[in-house]
Amino acid sequence: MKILRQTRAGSLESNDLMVVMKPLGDREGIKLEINSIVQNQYGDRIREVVTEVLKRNGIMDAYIMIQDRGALDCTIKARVETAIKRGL
Amino acid sequence: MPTTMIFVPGNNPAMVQNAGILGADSIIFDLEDAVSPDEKDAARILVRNALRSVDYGSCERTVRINSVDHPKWKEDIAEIAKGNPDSIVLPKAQRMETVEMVQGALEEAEDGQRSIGIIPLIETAEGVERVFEILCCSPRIKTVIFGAEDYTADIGAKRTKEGSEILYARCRILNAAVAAGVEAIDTPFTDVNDMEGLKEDVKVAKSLGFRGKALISPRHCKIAMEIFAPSGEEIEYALKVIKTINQAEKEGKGVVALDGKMIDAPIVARARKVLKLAGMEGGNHE
Amino acid sequence: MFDTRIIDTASTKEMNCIKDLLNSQGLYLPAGAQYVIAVYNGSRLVGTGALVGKILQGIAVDSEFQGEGISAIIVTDLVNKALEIGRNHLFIFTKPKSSSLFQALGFKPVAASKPDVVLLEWGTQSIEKFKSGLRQISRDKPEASCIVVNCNPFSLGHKYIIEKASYESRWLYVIVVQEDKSLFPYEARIKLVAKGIGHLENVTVIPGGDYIISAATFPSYFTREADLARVHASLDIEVFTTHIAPALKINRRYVGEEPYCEVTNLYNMVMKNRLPKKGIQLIEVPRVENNGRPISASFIREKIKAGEIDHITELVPKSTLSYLKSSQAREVIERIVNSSSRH
Repeated sequence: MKILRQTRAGSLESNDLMVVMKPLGDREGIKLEINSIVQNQYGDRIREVVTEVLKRNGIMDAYIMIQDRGALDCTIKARVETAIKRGL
Repeated sequence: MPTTMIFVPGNNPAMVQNAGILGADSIIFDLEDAVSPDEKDAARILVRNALRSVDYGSCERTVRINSVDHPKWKEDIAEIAKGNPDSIVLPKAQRMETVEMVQGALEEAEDGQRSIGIIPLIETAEGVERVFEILCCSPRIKTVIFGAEDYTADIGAKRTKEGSEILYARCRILNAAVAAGVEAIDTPFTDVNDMEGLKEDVKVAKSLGFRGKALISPRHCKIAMEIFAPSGEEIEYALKVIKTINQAEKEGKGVVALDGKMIDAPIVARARKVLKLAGMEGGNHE
Repeated sequence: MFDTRIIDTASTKEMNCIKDLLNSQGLYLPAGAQYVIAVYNGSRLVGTGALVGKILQGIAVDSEFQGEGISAIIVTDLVNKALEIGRNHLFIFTKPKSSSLFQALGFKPVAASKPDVVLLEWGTQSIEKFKSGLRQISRDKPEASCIVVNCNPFSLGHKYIIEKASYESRWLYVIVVQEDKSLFPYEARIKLVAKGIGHLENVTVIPGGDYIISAATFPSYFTREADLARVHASLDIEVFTTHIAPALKINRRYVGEEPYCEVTNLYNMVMKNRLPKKGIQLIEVPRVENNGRPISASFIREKIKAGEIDHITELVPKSTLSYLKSSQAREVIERIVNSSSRH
């Protein structure tokens, strides 16, 4: 699956996150930037969750910026999935 | 058997994840009016994920989908079914055909393990006139909610706090619900800050026979719960029911009567519910 | 619950309510705000914010409603709007006491000009990324000088000061203001700079990006609001001394004397005051004169506006002149002729 246009999902409100996704060329891979209010404790976990959703949706090349405001895993998954669906 | 059902905006993660601790018996995740048109897709996915992974304890979990005149209502059902809610709330229910259409979509979307209930939201003049046939048309319907805001807009009446303009609809829906064996839940009180007004409104609903109240603010939960809380007589009767069936079980009797009336499963369930509401969980009190 | 609405900036009634809210928080309606939103609690206005270019401005929340997450609602809406129109790198100016509020929303501080203002940024670009680009450029270069130029357009005056700086330095970075708010577009300006100094071997031309005299670091440079200029100039120099200069190993900055423009003159004064304290030498070079008057880009533009291109042959290098006479410049010249802007 290919991300064809820049999209966004989510918000900067508490317990939410904002996802900005941009297309990248073939074989450019996944470029993932994560900013979180709980970066130190959960930065790696967020990366893991995001990567899993990308993989499940077959996204090989994309730039993703995450601004997390303390979201649960299920919210992170939902926002990333929404951004992907909007970008296909 | 909910007494309080609270609407929670479907695209707000903070409220969605905390919906189980607001104090209501039942949660209505709202994909309709509380979600702006360009965020419908996001809300659907967010609520589906929350249903899958957030523990809402003993709360009933329901989702208000968009009405069938919205182009994407089927997508609501397809996504939401994956989260396996107890019921969907169907706005602007006004004909049997509408319910049947939604039932068809649910059958397609369900995994076959469990049947998702349908809670019609009666909020149009036509819906009120047809309410009995609507409530009888599907075994999935166990609860009905009255929606007064859209209803008064539909009939061209001004919404007032004392509510004489909705008395007919309330009585009509309640009567149909009892006749159809369905629980009737009253319309939300929309002034978030008027606690006295809320009290009066809930008292009216209870006196008319409603089993509970839909709510739009967590601040309304406690007051509504208190008013709907069972009376001393109700508790006494419930205790008697539980005592009687416990006794019958011990004696190995299949059929029991209390005060000359058969005690069947719904009566037992109601008794347990009454005791739970009264804070006497378990129902094994002597 | 709160409702968010886009405000019709032409409606005086709504705009007056917003002005009142801003004033109650010691703020004012930002100049040139086209996208303004309002947050309501029922019929009561409780919050507002605006997007001006890449800057979030005029964000205010009614004192009674602070702490209820309304600023997150406002900032989310403004960021969404910006992303929708392709702006992925955003800035907020705010008072130092409000800085933590926006940091909680993911904005990162770029620099502060205390006690007045903090500049924060958000998005797919950042000062850290910009600096790592600069470090790539400076990796194999010695300690260097720099000069920041707009070159609107490139003149013999610019050529002179750059040549002087080049002779006096081991290496020189010519940083071209990237903000496209001048009559000559950025692409044309940087091309003419590169052509005009192609003969110098120890010079690298660098785009200024969002961090050197940009709408983010120095908005009043473009709006010419002198009362704000002192604060902005300090902020711009703060960004320069804490980020740009170390990344490029700069120990000297050249600047042309400014006889005309109040804002630029103020900028030079701030530099004179601040740079030496940070170990950066400032060299102010007098303007080159032609027929007894300093060569200035604004004078050149006046001549172009008057249709007297032949009168500027002694003021610009051949490369600039041939550009001005080429078909490429037709659109720009038309704009200058029709413009009332001095910039």
